[in-house]
Amino acid sequence: MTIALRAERLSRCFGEVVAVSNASLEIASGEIGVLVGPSGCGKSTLLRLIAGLEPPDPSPKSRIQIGERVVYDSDKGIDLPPDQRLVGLVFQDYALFPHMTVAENIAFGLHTWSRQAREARVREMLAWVRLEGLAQRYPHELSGGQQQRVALARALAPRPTIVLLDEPFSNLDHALRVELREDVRELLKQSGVAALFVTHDREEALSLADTLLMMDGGCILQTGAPQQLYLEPASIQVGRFLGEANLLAGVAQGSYAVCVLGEVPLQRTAHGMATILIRPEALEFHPDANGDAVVERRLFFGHDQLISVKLDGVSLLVRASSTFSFAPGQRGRLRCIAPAVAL
Amino acid sequence: MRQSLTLGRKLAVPSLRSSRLSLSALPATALAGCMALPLVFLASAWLQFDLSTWAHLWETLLPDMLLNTALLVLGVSALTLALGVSLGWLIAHYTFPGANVFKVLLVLPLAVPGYVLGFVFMGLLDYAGPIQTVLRSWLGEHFEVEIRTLVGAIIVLSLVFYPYVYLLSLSAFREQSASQRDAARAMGYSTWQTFWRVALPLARPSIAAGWMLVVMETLTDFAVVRYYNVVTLSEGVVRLWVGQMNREGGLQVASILMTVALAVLLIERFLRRKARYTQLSGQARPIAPTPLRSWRGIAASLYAGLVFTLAFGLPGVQLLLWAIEDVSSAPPGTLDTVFTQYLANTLGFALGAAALVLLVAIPLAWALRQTAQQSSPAVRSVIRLATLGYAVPGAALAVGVLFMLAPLNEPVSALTGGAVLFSGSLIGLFYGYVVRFLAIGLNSVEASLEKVSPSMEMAARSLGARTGRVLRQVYLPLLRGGIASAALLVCVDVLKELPLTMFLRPFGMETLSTWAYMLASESAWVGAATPALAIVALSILPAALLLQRMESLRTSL
Repeated sequence: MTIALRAERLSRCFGEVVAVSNASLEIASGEIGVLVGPSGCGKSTLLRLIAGLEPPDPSPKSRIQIGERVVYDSDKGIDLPPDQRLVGLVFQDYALFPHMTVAENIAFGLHTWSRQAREARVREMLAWVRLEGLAQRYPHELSGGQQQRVALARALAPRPTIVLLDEPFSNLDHALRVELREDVRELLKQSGVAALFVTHDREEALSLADTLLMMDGGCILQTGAPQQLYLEPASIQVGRFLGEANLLAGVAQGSYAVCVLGEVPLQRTAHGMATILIRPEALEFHPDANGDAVVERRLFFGHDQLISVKLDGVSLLVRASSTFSFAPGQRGRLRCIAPAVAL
Repeated sequence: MRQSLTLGRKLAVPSLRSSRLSLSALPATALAGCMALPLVFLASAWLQFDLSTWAHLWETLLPDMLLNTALLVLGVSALTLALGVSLGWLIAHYTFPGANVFKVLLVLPLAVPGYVLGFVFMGLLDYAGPIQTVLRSWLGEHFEVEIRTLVGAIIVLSLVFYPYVYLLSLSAFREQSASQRDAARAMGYSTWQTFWRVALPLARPSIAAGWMLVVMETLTDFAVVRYYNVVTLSEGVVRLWVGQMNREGGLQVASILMTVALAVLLIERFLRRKARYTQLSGQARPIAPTPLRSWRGIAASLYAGLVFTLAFGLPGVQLLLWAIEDVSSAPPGTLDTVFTQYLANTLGFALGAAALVLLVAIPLAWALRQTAQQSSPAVRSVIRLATLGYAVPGAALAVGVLFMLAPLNEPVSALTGGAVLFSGSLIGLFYGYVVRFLAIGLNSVEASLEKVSPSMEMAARSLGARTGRVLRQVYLPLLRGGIASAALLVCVDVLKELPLTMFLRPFGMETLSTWAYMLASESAWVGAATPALAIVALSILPAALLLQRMESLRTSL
């Protein structure tokens, strides 16, 4: 496995505010990494450190390697400017040049190429993002989704080792966002270039990532496959950020834990007092007039529903198929059908 | 809900390599400091407090100057607000015969400087003028109306300056969304109540900005008040410094004048405070104009037509008649040479000043942008201080420049064998122009710099472009329009400018404005008409440009 990006021990403070604190990460070539975290967690700053748009604080042994090249090394005094790092960048506002046509925008990074090679590459990129007919249009004549694809084509035209995308979908409306997300993921996979996204949208992060990097307070809290982070979060912060979670006080006893639900199986063994994290879809509600759980509220989404159920004074969220009808006050029993995590 | 969160997210911090910039901001700060120097020198006049000078001033002209200045500012404010807001409201929300034409025509008075409109009105309405002559032939020999009064000056200046309030209130009214009005109407407000309770308060910040321009221009004027025998602070500076060669007194009055102007500026800032109302949601539904029918429509047309006729139509025609008389009566060739010479001087001053303003404004705008995200308020406040020159009345600024350069005169002229002299030289004049008009250039350049988003620069960098290429291929093409319009606006302001030019020009170098003023102040209306007409003609295009720029700004929002 070759490395597209390796960043080690990067930090950045703005006065008193610590934006990024000792962050390290690695993206393999062809891999899609997603930095996810709440607003202000430092993820955009980390991206800018990697791109060279912001200098890291000079701390020992901090390093950035893009492909085979070391572009930043605090100990050796290496610090390449952004124009020599060979990363592609896609911005939230796309940052297309308004005075250039689509073709001119895409060709901007190819100024050192021969004329023929440049024209061929622009045609190739236009075909790749399926905008062949729009080469002579200006950015303001394009829809949001088309502008997005031009920005992507422009970033990838010079064949960067990795492309960095800062909240690239947040200016689009919801339906278009979902559609484009799949589109962009597909295009990136086709081209084989590695990518690092930044987003605060967990759904977007989970569905885009090969590797998910959860950030908060300037630190990378956990790295792994989306499924792993969702099902086996390393901390309460990660677990809560990535989806609805029931957090129950309990005692772990090896392969199971005891909590308000009784004994629940654990994903990994643990011992002692713990917070037990159970996803709503790991719970099942069975209507039963003699049950000890009572339905409090329901939120109907269409594809499924969330019901809030009270059990021994504790409110729990349960995800249920949308075919069931539940009414507030209805009694029943709760069962845990999937392993929980003790934190 | 997640979606709305996403949309509300602000853009990333746009400092590009901020650590490298604190050094590069140093020259910009120094440059800005130079531009603020005359104001600092003028303020320091307060330190040379001399009791006898003050006592003398207080016993002679000062109380009159202060009172007249206050009355003039109050009167002109009231009249320009009434004219500007009512016309802005009419044009923004109603259609009536000629409304579309009036929208443009009502801006044109901006092209007529006060010292021109002032003398045209005197020529028409004074004792010896055609109107009083006719009235006397009807009403008898003893009929006489004195127009050379404070009220006369107020009317003239209001007709000249109302377009500032008109333009800004027009754009504010048109930006307002129909939903706001509909909400007020749904809650039971009548049209009239909606105007007072919703539209007017929402437009207040814009109207205040227009009013601020009116007050600054009123304080600057010394020509109209001089024609109309009203002693104000600006007129006093000219009277003392030029007329009586009283440097001490002139300096003190100039520093009072600057203080008054800056106080007004502070008051306006304070009144406006956080009041920057903008449309919150992205798409405001514009208000469809209501047609005014029958007598209402005719009344609206007559009102707009009357204002336009008084402020532009009538004086324009009169100037043309006088100019024709002047040209046809002058011995062939004489007028040509003089006119060509003065026109060349004027254009030279205007173009030179525009170039210098841009030379200063571009690096300052750049420094402002680069320091936008830094915690270095010092750089920014020095630059802001440098733009205050726009708020300082011309006569006061001129005295400040002269006062500041005077000590340099002897050593420099000795050093260069008398070849270079600061005051009364082109150096002093252009320095004054740059200090006064820097704000115009800086605003324009800053606004067009905003078209280049920080991420655009970053994108260019990440695509392998170095500084030179970023400047050449991204900044320059996007800034060209803004730079050109900044240059044009400065050019027009310089060619209309009177007090600075009069104080600072090299001896004997007349411009169209000083020429027109000097002939007019000797009641030589006919002779003054030719240069006056040239000034008006040269200023019309930019006045129209101003309106169009506002329109395009509105459609791009």
